[in-house]
Amino acid sequence: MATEAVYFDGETARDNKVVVSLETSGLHFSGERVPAQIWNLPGLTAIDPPHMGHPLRLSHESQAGARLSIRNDTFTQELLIAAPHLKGGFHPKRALRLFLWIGGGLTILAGLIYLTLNFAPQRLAVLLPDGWSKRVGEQMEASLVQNAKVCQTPDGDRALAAMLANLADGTPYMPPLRVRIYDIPIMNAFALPGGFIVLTRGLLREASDPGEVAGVLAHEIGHVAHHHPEAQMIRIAGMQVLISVATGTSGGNNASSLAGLAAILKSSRDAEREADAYAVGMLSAARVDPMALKTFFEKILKEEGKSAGSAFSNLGTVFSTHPVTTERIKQIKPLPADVALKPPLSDEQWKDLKAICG
Amino acid sequence: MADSLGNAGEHIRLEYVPRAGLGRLAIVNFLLNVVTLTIYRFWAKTNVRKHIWSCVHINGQPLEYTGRGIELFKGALIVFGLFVLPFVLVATFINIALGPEHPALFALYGLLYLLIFLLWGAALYRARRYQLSRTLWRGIRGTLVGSSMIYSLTYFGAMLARGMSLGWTTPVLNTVLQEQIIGDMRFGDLAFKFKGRAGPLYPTYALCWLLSLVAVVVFAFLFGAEVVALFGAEVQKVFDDIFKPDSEPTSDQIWTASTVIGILVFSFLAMFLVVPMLWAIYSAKELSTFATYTRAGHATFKLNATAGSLISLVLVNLLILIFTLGIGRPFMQQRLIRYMCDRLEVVGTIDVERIAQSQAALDRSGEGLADAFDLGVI
Repeated sequence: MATEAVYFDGETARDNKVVVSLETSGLHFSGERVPAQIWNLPGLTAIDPPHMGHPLRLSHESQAGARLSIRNDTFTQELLIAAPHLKGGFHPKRALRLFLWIGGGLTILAGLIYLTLNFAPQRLAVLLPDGWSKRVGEQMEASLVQNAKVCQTPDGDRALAAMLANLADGTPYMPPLRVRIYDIPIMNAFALPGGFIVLTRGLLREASDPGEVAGVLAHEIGHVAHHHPEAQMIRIAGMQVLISVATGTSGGNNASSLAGLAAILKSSRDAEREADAYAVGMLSAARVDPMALKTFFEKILKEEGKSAGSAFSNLGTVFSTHPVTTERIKQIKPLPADVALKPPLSDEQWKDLKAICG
Repeated sequence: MADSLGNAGEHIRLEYVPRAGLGRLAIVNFLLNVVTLTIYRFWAKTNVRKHIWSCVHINGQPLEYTGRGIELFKGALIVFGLFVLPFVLVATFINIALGPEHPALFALYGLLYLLIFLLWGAALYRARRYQLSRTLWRGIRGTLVGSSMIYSLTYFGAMLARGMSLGWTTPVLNTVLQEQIIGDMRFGDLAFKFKGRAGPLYPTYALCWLLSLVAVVVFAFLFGAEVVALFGAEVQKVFDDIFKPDSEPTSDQIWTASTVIGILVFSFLAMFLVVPMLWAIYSAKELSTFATYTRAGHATFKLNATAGSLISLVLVNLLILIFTLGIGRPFMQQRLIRYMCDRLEVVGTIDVERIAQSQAALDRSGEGLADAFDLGVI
């Protein structure tokens, strides 16, 4: 069958009337100004899916710029029977190519996320110059404690120093530390980049024994020794880079802090286990009873929920984002019976420490 | 149809002939966007353009969109690699190494904003050029033949001048910018021309400027009064009483409270709805004036744009956006194109038969900057 159609050669905008016929070898067409030619059926592409009332527009691989526009629905039907690939819809080849591009993109993205969250931070943390992490730690401490005042009394400071010295006994290398107690009612403790450790008045209040404070301190020193806070800092920065790249611009603040929280949660379990192990090792070496830490963890477990959603919950704190679990508590075992235990502070010093916030 | 009889050309008629399938496209695009973490958006955009372009019939022949998703994807990757990523890395490095308050960081941000402002026009120009070069009618494609950087500098200068003159240079600057971009526009070897003065736009501009000044003053006054009322002891007491548990407010109290809240809501609406609506009067005037200033061959253009129709176009699009959670975006684009097709008239004739293919080279990637700046080109 044959029909009238319009042919555009891709060189000029002139519309050339042609007569098209459908043969087994393909579409034959010729017109007044168009020499006879044949477009074989497999080489045809429909510009858009055929639709009643719209012309069927065809191009052919042999003539990239040329177009044939057919406005005859019955002819179109016949052509579609002879060349069903023109119906459009699903193109396996094109879908595969798209799948590969997007799949490749997503794989690279997943790789980058893994690199940024899990692989790079802990390795880079060790390389970070001290000056950098100290500056960041100082700023983080300032923003975390807000306007809370530092608890300081000469006797209390001496007691804190004594506790640190007692803990260091038996541990060959102590990282440089700066431990401060803040007048904050919520029970909390955290380690920041640069060896800054923060304890709260609430924590001192809840502790009924110097061994409990020593245990928490040892846990935080464990974080410092393992460079966890620095790793966290790099993780958050990396996450922000990823988000900036993904969203195209300098990134939304909400999104990045959310992602920061997610990054912290993600990393916490292993880090907590490492810090716990370090704490138990340190306490054992110093012959301080690790069961006090266990007691304190059990106390926290009971208290849990009260401190949830506290002011610190969005910034890597020990108790709100790294919940104490029964599994963690089980890992803490008593020292052998023949070890002579040593109290981390004398009764006098313990009183002084308890009174440091007035 | 004209042929070799020496006829001056054809009359041009635009028509939007809708085709089924846009809704399905919108849903499929949305789902694939979710699955691919929005990487599919480049292909989604392309598919929507293919559909909408094919519904624009000019003298019975539909437009054809030949762009490909991969070109947009590459464009975005190039901008990420050359622009976004280096900046973010340097900023992060400075942040950690030198601290967030270091002057180097401020300098970097300053540089970034300067670059964005400098390249804003280029992003618009390049996006327009990409779209034109991927738009075929009767097998012939369009293009912009000028330099995107020159346009960008003009655009940057215009932004500065606009700010310094409190907006009053807007009609002149818009005319200059339009002259530049339309003057660069080609369909095949057919050149578009733009010639006209900004003077006729000024009465409408002055009207809109003054009206919005009045609106802002009224808004500020209402807002100020509102603040005074809210912090006044009387109103405070009313609110306290109402929000007390198991309170039984009197009708007087409810009246006071709802008046206070009503004025607050109204003054915000005034700011965010009324002022842009006022400016629709100017937009309509500018669009229709610019159409009459535009020539192609022996034809000029006439655009029947009115403030009311622009407002309803934008408002309905806004409602579509809100109520479909963005899934209906293709329909917003369709409404925009349809608006132009329905209201644009070509007066005179164009010798279409003589138009030869454009010889301009084709960009291999497109719209990277526009995507990075989120310019929302169709």
